[in-house]
Amino acid sequence: MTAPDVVGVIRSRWLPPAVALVVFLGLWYLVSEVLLDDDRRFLLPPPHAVVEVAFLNPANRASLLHGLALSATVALVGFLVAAVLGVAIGTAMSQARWVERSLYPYAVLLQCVPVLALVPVVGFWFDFGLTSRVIVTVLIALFPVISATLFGLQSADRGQHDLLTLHRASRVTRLVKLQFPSALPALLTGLQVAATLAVVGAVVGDLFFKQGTPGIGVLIDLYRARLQTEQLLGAALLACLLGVAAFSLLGLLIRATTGEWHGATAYDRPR
Amino acid sequence: MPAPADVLLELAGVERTFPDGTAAVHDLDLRVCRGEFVSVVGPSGCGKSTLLRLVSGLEPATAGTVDVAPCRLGHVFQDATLLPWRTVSRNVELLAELEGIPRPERRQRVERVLELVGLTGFARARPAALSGGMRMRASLARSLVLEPELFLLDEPFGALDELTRERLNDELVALFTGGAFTAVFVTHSVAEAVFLSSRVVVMSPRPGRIVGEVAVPFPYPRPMHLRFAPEFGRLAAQVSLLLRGDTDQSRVVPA
Repeated sequence: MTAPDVVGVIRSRWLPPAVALVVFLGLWYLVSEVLLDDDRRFLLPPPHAVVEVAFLNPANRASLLHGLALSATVALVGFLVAAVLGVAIGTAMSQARWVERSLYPYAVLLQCVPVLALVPVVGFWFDFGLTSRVIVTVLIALFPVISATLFGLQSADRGQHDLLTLHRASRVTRLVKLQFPSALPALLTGLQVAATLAVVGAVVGDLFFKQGTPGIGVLIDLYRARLQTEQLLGAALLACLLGVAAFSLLGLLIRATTGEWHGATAYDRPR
Repeated sequence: MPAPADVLLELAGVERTFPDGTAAVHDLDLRVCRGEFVSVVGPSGCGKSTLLRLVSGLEPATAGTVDVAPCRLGHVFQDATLLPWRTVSRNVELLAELEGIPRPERRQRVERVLELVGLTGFARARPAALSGGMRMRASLARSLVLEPELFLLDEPFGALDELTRERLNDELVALFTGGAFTAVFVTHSVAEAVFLSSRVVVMSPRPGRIVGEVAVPFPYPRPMHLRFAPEFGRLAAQVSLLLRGDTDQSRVVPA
Protein backbone atom coordinates (compact mmCIF):
# COMPACT_ATOMS: atom_id res chain seq x y z
CA MET A 1 0.00 0.00 0.00
CA THR A 2 1.39 3.41 -0.91
CA ALA A 3 1.10 6.46 1.31
CA PRO A 4 -1.80 8.14 -0.55
CA ASP A 5 -3.66 4.80 -0.36
CA VAL A 6 -3.34 4.74 3.41
CA VAL A 7 -4.60 8.30 3.63
CA GLY A 8 -7.49 7.41 1.33
CA VAL A 9 -8.45 4.36 3.37
CA ILE A 10 -8.30 6.32 6.62
CA ARG A 11 -10.39 9.09 5.13
CA SER A 12 -13.05 6.86 3.60
CA ARG A 13 -13.26 4.06 6.17
CA TRP A 14 -12.20 5.41 9.54
CA LEU A 15 -12.95 9.10 9.44
CA PRO A 16 -16.79 8.93 9.32
CA PRO A 17 -17.20 6.64 12.37
CA ALA A 18 -14.52 8.60 14.24
CA VAL A 19 -16.38 11.86 13.62
CA ALA A 20 -19.62 10.21 14.74
CA LEU A 21 -17.92 9.04 17.95
CA VAL A 22 -16.59 12.50 18.72
CA VAL A 23 -20.06 14.01 18.17
CA PHE A 24 -21.59 11.31 20.38
CA LEU A 25 -19.08 11.92 23.21
CA GLY A 26 -19.64 15.67 22.85
CA LEU A 27 -23.40 15.23 23.31
CA TRP A 28 -22.76 12.95 26.28
CA TYR A 29 -20.57 15.62 27.96
CA LEU A 30 -23.13 18.27 27.10
CA VAL A 31 -25.87 16.34 28.89
CA SER A 32 -23.89 15.32 31.97
CA GLU A 33 -21.81 18.48 32.53
CA VAL A 34 -24.12 21.23 31.28
CA LEU A 35 -27.72 20.05 31.39
CA LEU A 36 -27.61 17.99 34.59
CA ASP A 37 -27.27 19.65 38.01
CA ASP A 38 -24.47 18.42 40.26
CA ASP A 39 -26.84 16.48 42.48
CA ARG A 40 -28.40 14.72 39.49
CA ARG A 41 -25.19 13.97 37.64
CA PHE A 42 -25.38 10.34 38.81
CA LEU A 43 -28.06 9.84 36.13
CA LEU A 44 -25.45 10.22 33.41
CA PRO A 45 -21.88 10.52 34.64
CA PRO A 46 -19.42 11.85 32.03
CA PRO A 47 -17.38 9.36 29.96
CA HIS A 48 -14.10 9.92 31.83
CA ALA A 49 -15.85 9.12 35.13
CA VAL A 50 -17.13 5.84 33.66
CA VAL A 51 -13.62 4.88 32.57
CA GLU A 52 -12.13 5.93 35.91
CA VAL A 53 -14.60 4.18 38.19
CA ALA A 54 -15.46 1.12 36.18
CA PHE A 55 -12.17 0.28 34.50
CA LEU A 56 -9.30 2.05 36.29
CA ASN A 57 -10.32 1.05 39.81
CA PRO A 58 -8.68 -2.40 40.23
CA ALA A 59 -11.41 -3.94 42.40
CA ASN A 60 -14.25 -2.74 40.16
CA ARG A 61 -12.37 -3.79 37.06
CA ALA A 62 -11.76 -7.27 38.48
CA SER A 63 -15.43 -7.90 39.22
CA LEU A 64 -16.49 -6.57 35.80
CA LEU A 65 -13.95 -8.70 33.94
CA HIS A 66 -14.91 -11.71 35.98
CA GLY A 67 -18.56 -11.16 35.10
CA LEU A 68 -17.59 -10.66 31.47
CA ALA A 69 -15.69 -13.96 31.41
CA LEU A 70 -18.68 -15.82 32.81
CA SER A 71 -21.15 -14.23 30.38
CA ALA A 72 -18.79 -14.82 27.48
CA THR A 73 -18.58 -18.50 28.42
CA VAL A 74 -22.37 -18.77 28.61
CA ALA A 75 -22.76 -16.97 25.28
CA LEU A 76 -20.13 -19.15 23.58
CA VAL A 77 -21.51 -22.47 24.86
CA GLY A 78 -25.09 -21.36 24.14
CA PHE A 79 -24.12 -20.26 20.65
CA LEU A 80 -22.38 -23.55 19.87
CA VAL A 81 -25.33 -25.60 21.14
CA ALA A 82 -27.78 -23.42 19.17
CA ALA A 83 -25.61 -23.74 16.04
CA VAL A 84 -25.37 -27.54 16.17
CA LEU A 85 -29.01 -28.01 17.15
CA GLY A 86 -30.28 -25.42 14.67
CA VAL A 87 -28.35 -26.88 11.73
CA ALA A 88 -29.53 -30.39 12.66
CA ILE A 89 -33.19 -29.37 12.94
CA GLY A 90 -33.04 -27.24 9.78
CA THR A 91 -31.43 -30.10 7.86
CA ALA A 92 -34.05 -32.59 9.08
CA MET A 93 -36.77 -30.17 7.97
CA SER A 94 -35.19 -29.84 4.53
CA GLN A 95 -35.16 -33.60 4.06
CA ALA A 96 -38.84 -34.27 4.52
CA ARG A 97 -41.86 -32.07 4.05
CA TRP A 98 -43.62 -33.71 7.02
CA VAL A 99 -40.77 -32.88 9.40
CA GLU A 100 -40.89 -29.26 8.27
CA ARG A 101 -44.67 -29.15 8.61
CA SER A 102 -44.62 -30.63 12.09
CA LEU A 103 -41.70 -28.69 13.53
CA TYR A 104 -41.59 -25.28 11.88
CA PRO A 105 -44.70 -23.83 13.58
CA TYR A 106 -43.18 -24.68 16.96
CA ALA A 107 -39.87 -23.17 15.99
CA VAL A 108 -41.74 -19.94 15.22
CA LEU A 109 -43.60 -20.26 18.51
CA LEU A 110 -40.29 -20.69 20.31
CA GLN A 111 -39.07 -17.46 18.75
CA CYS A 112 -42.22 -15.60 19.81
CA VAL A 113 -42.52 -16.84 23.38
CA PRO A 114 -41.27 -14.22 25.83
CA VAL A 115 -38.17 -15.96 27.12
CA LEU A 116 -38.31 -13.91 30.30
CA ALA A 117 -41.48 -15.77 31.23
CA LEU A 118 -39.62 -19.04 30.91
CA VAL A 119 -36.60 -17.95 32.94
CA PRO A 120 -38.09 -18.86 36.34
CA VAL A 121 -39.29 -22.24 35.05
CA VAL A 122 -35.87 -23.03 33.60
CA GLY A 123 -34.43 -22.01 36.96
CA PHE A 124 -36.70 -24.38 38.89
CA TRP A 125 -35.82 -27.30 36.69
CA PHE A 126 -32.14 -26.83 36.06
CA ASP A 127 -31.09 -24.80 39.07
CA PHE A 128 -29.52 -21.38 38.75
CA GLY A 129 -26.10 -22.34 37.48
CA LEU A 130 -24.39 -22.44 34.11
CA THR A 131 -26.84 -24.95 32.61
CA SER A 132 -29.88 -22.72 33.01
CA ARG A 133 -28.07 -19.72 31.60
CA VAL A 134 -26.98 -21.73 28.59
CA ILE A 135 -30.54 -23.00 28.06
CA VAL A 136 -31.93 -19.47 28.01
CA THR A 137 -29.22 -18.45 25.56
CA VAL A 138 -30.05 -21.39 23.28
CA LEU A 139 -33.77 -20.54 23.39
CA ILE A 140 -33.00 -17.05 22.18
CA ALA A 141 -30.38 -17.91 19.55
CA LEU A 142 -31.85 -21.09 18.05
CA PHE A 143 -34.51 -19.84 15.65
CA PRO A 144 -32.33 -17.78 13.31
CA VAL A 145 -30.09 -20.81 12.83
CA ILE A 146 -33.01 -23.11 12.01
CA SER A 147 -34.58 -20.73 9.53
CA ALA A 148 -31.27 -19.78 7.89
CA THR A 149 -30.36 -23.46 7.50
CA LEU A 150 -33.71 -24.34 6.00
CA PHE A 151 -33.73 -21.35 3.68
CA GLY A 152 -30.13 -21.97 2.67
CA LEU A 153 -30.60 -25.65 1.91
CA GLN A 154 -33.49 -24.78 -0.38
CA SER A 155 -31.52 -22.15 -2.28
CA ALA A 156 -29.74 -24.38 -4.81
CA ASP A 157 -31.26 -23.85 -8.23
CA ARG A 158 -33.28 -26.37 -10.16
CA GLY A 159 -30.69 -26.86 -12.88
CA GLN A 160 -28.05 -27.83 -10.33
CA HIS A 161 -30.47 -30.28 -8.75
CA ASP A 162 -31.31 -31.73 -12.17
CA LEU A 163 -27.64 -32.26 -12.83
CA LEU A 164 -27.31 -34.36 -9.68
CA THR A 165 -30.55 -36.20 -10.41
CA LEU A 166 -29.21 -37.17 -13.86
CA HIS A 167 -26.26 -38.80 -12.22
CA ARG A 168 -28.32 -40.55 -9.56
CA ALA A 169 -26.73 -38.69 -6.66
CA SER A 170 -27.83 -39.95 -3.24
CA ARG A 171 -29.41 -37.72 -0.62
CA VAL A 172 -26.15 -37.46 1.27
CA THR A 173 -24.17 -36.63 -1.88
CA ARG A 174 -26.73 -33.99 -2.77
CA LEU A 175 -26.44 -32.46 0.69
CA VAL A 176 -22.66 -32.53 0.78
CA LYS A 177 -21.87 -31.50 -2.79
CA LEU A 178 -24.73 -29.11 -3.50
CA GLN A 179 -27.05 -28.11 -0.69
CA PHE A 180 -24.66 -27.36 2.17
CA PRO A 181 -22.27 -25.29 0.06
CA SER A 182 -25.18 -23.32 -1.44
CA ALA A 183 -26.60 -22.88 2.05
CA LEU A 184 -23.36 -21.51 3.42
CA PRO A 185 -23.92 -17.77 2.79
CA ALA A 186 -27.42 -17.83 4.32
CA LEU A 187 -26.37 -20.17 7.10
CA LEU A 188 -23.41 -18.02 8.13
CA THR A 189 -25.52 -14.87 8.13
CA GLY A 190 -27.98 -16.71 10.38
CA LEU A 191 -25.13 -17.75 12.65
CA GLN A 192 -23.93 -14.16 12.80
CA VAL A 193 -27.37 -13.05 14.00
CA ALA A 194 -27.42 -15.97 16.43
CA ALA A 195 -24.01 -15.00 17.83
CA THR A 196 -25.17 -11.50 18.79
CA LEU A 197 -28.42 -12.93 20.16
CA ALA A 198 -26.41 -15.40 22.24
CA VAL A 199 -24.68 -12.45 23.94
CA VAL A 200 -28.04 -10.81 24.56
CA GLY A 201 -29.39 -14.12 25.86
CA ALA A 202 -26.43 -14.64 28.19
CA VAL A 203 -26.81 -11.17 29.72
CA VAL A 204 -30.60 -11.17 29.90
CA GLY A 205 -30.77 -14.68 31.37
CA ASP A 206 -28.17 -13.73 33.92
CA LEU A 207 -29.99 -10.52 34.80
CA PHE A 208 -33.17 -12.39 35.61
CA PHE A 209 -31.60 -15.29 37.47
CA LYS A 210 -30.04 -12.92 39.99
CA GLN A 211 -28.47 -15.96 41.58
CA GLY A 212 -25.34 -18.04 41.21
CA THR A 213 -21.98 -16.69 40.12
CA PRO A 214 -22.57 -13.14 38.90
CA GLY A 215 -22.17 -12.58 35.16
CA ILE A 216 -22.58 -9.22 33.45
CA GLY A 217 -26.37 -9.41 33.91
CA VAL A 218 -26.28 -9.89 37.67
CA LEU A 219 -23.71 -7.08 37.94
CA ILE A 220 -25.92 -4.75 35.89
CA ASP A 221 -28.81 -5.45 38.25
CA LEU A 222 -26.58 -4.88 41.27
CA TYR A 223 -25.21 -1.55 40.02
CA ARG A 224 -28.71 -0.45 39.11
CA ALA A 225 -29.93 -1.16 42.64
CA ARG A 226 -26.96 0.71 44.15
CA LEU A 227 -27.23 3.63 41.70
CA GLN A 228 -23.63 2.99 40.63
CA THR A 229 -24.19 4.43 37.18
CA GLU A 230 -20.50 4.54 36.21
CA GLN A 231 -20.16 0.80 36.69
CA LEU A 232 -23.59 0.18 35.15
CA LEU A 233 -22.52 1.93 31.97
CA GLY A 234 -19.16 0.15 32.10
CA ALA A 235 -20.93 -3.21 32.27
CA ALA A 236 -23.23 -2.26 29.40
CA LEU A 237 -20.21 -1.20 27.35
CA LEU A 238 -18.48 -4.53 27.98
CA ALA A 239 -21.61 -6.52 27.05
CA CYS A 240 -21.85 -4.46 23.90
CA LEU A 241 -18.20 -5.06 23.02
CA LEU A 242 -18.74 -8.78 23.55
CA GLY A 243 -21.60 -8.70 21.04
CA VAL A 244 -19.54 -6.74 18.53
CA ALA A 245 -16.67 -9.21 18.96
CA ALA A 246 -19.02 -12.14 18.31
CA PHE A 247 -20.42 -10.39 15.22
CA SER A 248 -16.96 -9.56 13.87
CA LEU A 249 -15.59 -13.06 14.41
CA LEU A 250 -18.46 -14.51 12.41
CA GLY A 251 -17.86 -11.81 9.80
CA LEU A 252 -14.26 -13.00 9.45
CA LEU A 253 -15.50 -16.57 9.11
CA ILE A 254 -17.92 -15.50 6.38
CA ARG A 255 -15.19 -13.78 4.42
CA ALA A 256 -12.83 -16.69 4.83
CA THR A 257 -15.32 -19.31 3.66
CA THR A 258 -17.52 -17.62 1.07
CA GLY A 259 -15.75 -14.36 0.23
CA GLU A 260 -14.04 -16.01 -2.75
CA TRP A 261 -17.23 -16.83 -4.58
CA HIS A 262 -20.27 -15.24 -2.99
CA GLY A 263 -21.54 -11.68 -3.13
CA ALA A 264 -20.19 -8.51 -4.63
CA THR A 265 -16.61 -8.94 -3.42
CA ALA A 266 -16.25 -12.10 -5.52
CA TYR A 267 -16.59 -9.98 -8.65
CA ASP A 268 -14.09 -7.32 -7.62
CA ARG A 269 -11.16 -9.68 -7.42
CA PRO A 270 -8.51 -9.43 -10.09
CA ARG A 271 -8.97 -12.16 -12.64
CA MET B 1 -34.64 -47.44 -42.95
CA PRO B 2 -31.69 -47.45 -40.58
CA ALA B 3 -30.70 -50.74 -39.00
CA PRO B 4 -32.27 -51.01 -35.51
CA ALA B 5 -28.82 -51.14 -33.94
CA ASP B 6 -28.13 -47.65 -35.25
CA VAL B 7 -31.15 -46.08 -33.59
CA LEU B 8 -30.06 -44.35 -30.40
CA LEU B 9 -33.29 -42.65 -29.53
CA GLU B 10 -36.86 -43.24 -30.51
CA LEU B 11 -39.90 -41.31 -29.32
CA ALA B 12 -43.27 -42.63 -30.42
CA GLY B 13 -46.59 -40.91 -29.74
CA VAL B 14 -45.10 -39.21 -26.69
CA GLU B 15 -47.26 -36.93 -24.65
CA ARG B 16 -46.27 -34.97 -21.59
CA THR B 17 -48.96 -33.24 -19.57
CA PHE B 18 -47.89 -31.38 -16.45
CA PRO B 19 -49.69 -31.98 -13.15
CA ASP B 20 -51.48 -28.64 -13.60
CA GLY B 21 -53.05 -29.94 -16.83
CA THR B 22 -51.04 -28.05 -19.45
CA ALA B 23 -49.81 -30.25 -22.26
CA ALA B 24 -46.17 -29.55 -23.10
CA VAL B 25 -45.79 -31.98 -25.96
CA HIS B 26 -48.38 -34.00 -27.79
CA ASP B 27 -48.09 -36.93 -30.17
CA LEU B 28 -44.37 -36.50 -30.55
CA ASP B 29 -42.45 -38.82 -32.88
CA LEU B 30 -38.71 -38.56 -33.29
CA ARG B 31 -35.99 -41.00 -34.21
CA VAL B 32 -32.30 -40.19 -33.88
CA CYS B 33 -29.60 -42.47 -35.24
CA ARG B 34 -26.00 -42.83 -34.15
CA GLY B 35 -23.78 -40.13 -35.63
CA GLU B 36 -26.55 -37.66 -36.38
CA PHE B 37 -26.62 -34.05 -35.25
CA VAL B 38 -30.31 -33.25 -34.91
CA SER B 39 -31.49 -29.76 -34.04
CA VAL B 40 -34.95 -29.15 -32.70
CA VAL B 41 -36.30 -25.67 -33.45
CA GLY B 42 -39.62 -24.25 -32.43
CA PRO B 43 -41.26 -21.18 -30.92
CA SER B 44 -40.67 -20.38 -27.24
CA GLY B 45 -42.58 -22.60 -24.89
CA CYS B 46 -43.30 -25.32 -27.44
CA GLY B 47 -41.87 -28.08 -25.29
CA LYS B 48 -38.37 -28.32 -26.77
CA SER B 49 -36.76 -28.47 -23.34
CA THR B 50 -39.39 -30.95 -22.21
CA LEU B 51 -38.40 -33.18 -25.13
CA LEU B 52 -34.83 -33.32 -23.84
CA ARG B 53 -35.96 -33.81 -20.25
CA LEU B 54 -38.09 -36.75 -21.37
CA VAL B 55 -35.08 -38.28 -23.11
CA SER B 56 -32.78 -37.94 -20.11
CA GLY B 57 -35.45 -39.20 -17.75
CA LEU B 58 -35.84 -35.99 -15.75
CA GLU B 59 -39.54 -36.07 -16.59
CA PRO B 60 -41.82 -39.01 -17.27
CA ALA B 61 -43.98 -39.25 -20.39
CA THR B 62 -47.71 -39.31 -19.67
CA ALA B 63 -48.33 -41.37 -22.81
CA GLY B 64 -46.32 -42.99 -25.61
CA THR B 65 -42.88 -44.52 -25.41
CA VAL B 66 -39.42 -43.05 -24.98
CA ASP B 67 -36.73 -45.52 -26.02
CA VAL B 68 -33.14 -44.60 -25.39
CA ALA B 69 -30.50 -47.18 -26.29
CA PRO B 70 -28.21 -47.91 -23.36
CA CYS B 71 -25.44 -45.34 -23.71
CA ARG B 72 -23.63 -42.59 -21.87
CA LEU B 73 -25.82 -39.52 -21.80
CA GLY B 74 -24.79 -35.90 -21.53
CA HIS B 75 -27.26 -33.10 -20.80
CA VAL B 76 -26.25 -29.46 -21.05
CA PHE B 77 -28.72 -26.94 -19.71
CA GLN B 78 -29.69 -23.47 -20.83
CA ASP B 79 -27.83 -21.99 -17.87
CA ALA B 80 -24.29 -23.06 -17.21
CA THR B 81 -25.41 -24.29 -13.72
CA LEU B 82 -21.84 -24.18 -12.45
CA LEU B 83 -21.30 -24.38 -8.71
CA PRO B 84 -20.02 -20.92 -7.74
CA TRP B 85 -17.86 -22.19 -4.87
CA ARG B 86 -15.88 -24.56 -7.10
CA THR B 87 -13.11 -23.51 -9.44
CA VAL B 88 -13.55 -24.21 -13.14
CA SER B 89 -11.54 -27.43 -13.00
CA ARG B 90 -13.42 -28.65 -9.89
CA ASN B 91 -16.70 -27.85 -11.65
CA VAL B 92 -15.65 -29.78 -14.71
CA GLU B 93 -14.70 -32.64 -12.41
CA LEU B 94 -18.11 -32.81 -10.72
CA LEU B 95 -19.95 -35.32 -12.91
CA ALA B 96 -16.92 -37.59 -13.08
CA GLU B 97 -16.92 -37.49 -9.27
CA LEU B 98 -20.60 -38.45 -9.15
CA GLU B 99 -19.93 -41.33 -11.51
CA GLY B 100 -17.19 -42.62 -9.26
CA ILE B 101 -14.29 -42.25 -11.67
CA PRO B 102 -11.06 -42.51 -9.66
CA ARG B 103 -9.28 -39.26 -8.95
CA PRO B 104 -6.12 -39.64 -11.08
CA GLU B 105 -8.15 -40.48 -14.16
CA ARG B 106 -10.62 -37.71 -13.37
CA ARG B 107 -7.80 -35.19 -13.27
CA GLN B 108 -6.43 -36.39 -16.59
CA ARG B 109 -9.81 -36.15 -18.25
CA VAL B 110 -10.43 -32.68 -16.84
CA GLU B 111 -7.13 -31.45 -18.16
CA ARG B 112 -7.90 -32.89 -21.59
CA VAL B 113 -11.39 -31.38 -21.95
CA LEU B 114 -10.30 -28.01 -20.57
CA GLU B 115 -7.80 -27.89 -23.39
CA LEU B 116 -10.50 -28.99 -25.82
CA VAL B 117 -12.76 -26.07 -24.90
CA GLY B 118 -9.89 -23.60 -24.51
CA LEU B 119 -10.16 -23.02 -20.76
CA THR B 120 -6.79 -24.36 -19.65
CA GLY B 121 -5.69 -20.94 -18.46
CA PHE B 122 -8.81 -20.56 -16.33
CA ALA B 123 -8.73 -23.90 -14.52
CA ARG B 124 -8.35 -22.21 -11.14
CA ALA B 125 -10.78 -19.33 -11.72
CA ARG B 126 -14.19 -19.24 -10.09
CA PRO B 127 -17.30 -19.02 -12.32
CA ALA B 128 -17.99 -15.45 -11.16
CA ALA B 129 -14.78 -14.35 -12.84
CA LEU B 130 -15.77 -15.80 -16.22
CA SER B 131 -17.72 -14.32 -19.12
CA GLY B 132 -20.99 -15.97 -20.16
CA GLY B 133 -19.31 -17.70 -23.09
CA MET B 134 -16.57 -19.10 -20.90
CA ARG B 135 -19.09 -20.37 -18.38
CA MET B 136 -20.88 -22.20 -21.14
CA ARG B 137 -17.59 -23.71 -22.30
CA ALA B 138 -17.02 -24.95 -18.77
CA SER B 139 -20.52 -26.41 -18.72
CA LEU B 140 -19.86 -28.23 -22.01
CA ALA B 141 -16.54 -29.47 -20.68
CA ARG B 142 -18.25 -30.84 -17.56
CA SER B 143 -20.41 -33.08 -19.76
CA LEU B 144 -17.62 -33.95 -22.19
CA VAL B 145 -15.58 -35.37 -19.32
CA LEU B 146 -17.91 -38.37 -19.30
CA GLU B 147 -17.47 -38.85 -23.05
CA PRO B 148 -21.20 -38.88 -23.82
CA GLU B 149 -22.52 -40.94 -26.69
CA LEU B 150 -25.82 -39.09 -26.78
CA PHE B 151 -25.34 -35.39 -26.13
CA LEU B 152 -28.47 -33.39 -25.29
CA LEU B 153 -27.99 -29.63 -25.52
CA ASP B 154 -30.79 -27.39 -24.33
CA GLU B 155 -30.34 -24.00 -25.96
CA PRO B 156 -26.87 -23.75 -24.48
CA PHE B 157 -25.91 -20.57 -26.35
CA GLY B 158 -29.26 -18.79 -26.09
CA ALA B 159 -28.08 -16.21 -23.60
CA LEU B 160 -24.89 -15.30 -25.45
CA ASP B 161 -24.18 -12.47 -27.85
CA GLU B 162 -24.17 -13.24 -31.57
CA LEU B 163 -20.39 -13.22 -31.96
CA THR B 164 -19.74 -15.53 -29.03
CA ARG B 165 -22.54 -17.78 -30.15
CA GLU B 166 -21.07 -18.18 -33.64
CA ARG B 167 -17.65 -18.87 -32.23
CA LEU B 168 -19.03 -21.53 -29.92
CA ASN B 169 -21.00 -22.99 -32.83
CA ASP B 170 -17.74 -23.32 -34.77
CA GLU B 171 -16.16 -25.02 -31.76
CA LEU B 172 -19.11 -27.36 -31.30
CA VAL B 173 -18.91 -28.40 -34.96
CA ALA B 174 -15.21 -29.13 -34.47
CA LEU B 175 -15.98 -31.16 -31.34
CA PHE B 176 -18.69 -33.08 -33.17
CA THR B 177 -16.42 -33.74 -36.13
CA GLY B 178 -13.61 -35.02 -33.96
CA GLY B 179 -15.76 -36.73 -31.39
CA ALA B 180 -17.90 -39.79 -31.39
CA PHE B 181 -21.18 -38.44 -30.10
CA THR B 182 -24.69 -38.05 -31.41
CA ALA B 183 -26.31 -34.73 -30.62
CA VAL B 184 -29.82 -33.46 -30.06
CA PHE B 185 -29.63 -29.69 -29.94
CA VAL B 186 -32.52 -27.46 -28.97
CA THR B 187 -32.51 -23.86 -30.17
CA HIS B 188 -34.76 -21.18 -31.55
CA SER B 189 -32.13 -19.81 -33.84
CA VAL B 190 -32.65 -21.09 -37.38
CA ALA B 191 -29.14 -20.16 -38.53
CA GLU B 192 -27.58 -21.97 -35.60
CA ALA B 193 -29.67 -25.08 -36.25
CA VAL B 194 -28.76 -25.23 -39.95
CA PHE B 195 -25.08 -24.55 -39.34
CA LEU B 196 -24.70 -27.28 -36.73
CA SER B 197 -27.01 -30.05 -37.84
CA SER B 198 -27.24 -32.91 -40.22
CA ARG B 199 -31.01 -32.68 -39.76
CA VAL B 200 -33.31 -29.97 -38.43
CA VAL B 201 -36.72 -30.88 -37.02
CA VAL B 202 -39.34 -28.21 -36.53
CA MET B 203 -41.88 -28.19 -33.71
CA SER B 204 -45.30 -26.57 -33.59
CA PRO B 205 -46.37 -24.16 -30.82
CA ARG B 206 -47.51 -25.75 -27.54
CA PRO B 207 -48.46 -28.51 -27.21
CA GLY B 208 -45.45 -29.25 -29.37
CA ARG B 209 -45.20 -31.91 -31.99
CA ILE B 210 -42.94 -32.31 -34.99
CA VAL B 211 -44.34 -30.59 -38.04
CA GLY B 212 -41.52 -31.09 -40.50
CA GLU B 213 -37.87 -31.66 -41.01
CA VAL B 214 -35.09 -30.46 -43.26
CA ALA B 215 -31.99 -32.51 -44.03
CA VAL B 216 -28.76 -30.50 -44.13
CA PRO B 217 -26.37 -32.32 -46.48
CA PHE B 218 -23.16 -30.32 -45.86
CA PRO B 219 -20.25 -32.53 -44.82
CA TYR B 220 -18.35 -32.01 -41.56
CA PRO B 221 -16.14 -30.25 -40.63
CA ARG B 222 -18.02 -27.13 -41.63
CA PRO B 223 -16.07 -23.97 -42.34
CA MET B 224 -17.40 -20.78 -40.76
CA HIS B 225 -18.04 -19.19 -44.18
CA LEU B 226 -20.59 -21.91 -44.93
CA ARG B 227 -23.02 -19.45 -43.33
CA PHE B 228 -22.74 -17.22 -46.41
CA ALA B 229 -23.38 -19.95 -48.99
CA PRO B 230 -26.59 -19.61 -51.04
CA GLU B 231 -27.52 -23.22 -50.29
CA PHE B 232 -27.26 -22.43 -46.56
CA GLY B 233 -29.71 -19.56 -47.02
CA ARG B 234 -32.10 -21.77 -48.94
CA LEU B 235 -32.14 -24.40 -46.17
CA ALA B 236 -32.59 -21.73 -43.50
CA ALA B 237 -35.53 -20.33 -45.47
CA GLN B 238 -37.10 -23.80 -45.58
CA VAL B 239 -36.82 -24.12 -41.82
CA SER B 240 -38.21 -20.62 -41.28
CA LEU B 241 -41.25 -21.36 -43.44
CA LEU B 242 -41.93 -24.57 -41.52
CA LEU B 243 -41.67 -22.60 -38.29
CA ARG B 244 -44.35 -20.23 -39.55
CA GLY B 245 -46.57 -23.17 -40.38
CA ASP B 246 -46.14 -22.55 -44.10
CA THR B 247 -45.83 -25.83 -45.96
CA ASP B 248 -45.71 -24.34 -49.46
CA GLN B 249 -42.02 -24.91 -50.12
CA SER B 250 -42.32 -23.41 -53.61
CA ARG B 251 -41.79 -20.02 -51.97
CA VAL B 252 -38.18 -21.00 -51.43
CA VAL B 253 -36.23 -19.93 -54.48
CA PRO B 254 -34.25 -22.91 -55.75
CA ALA B 255 -30.50 -22.51 -55.58
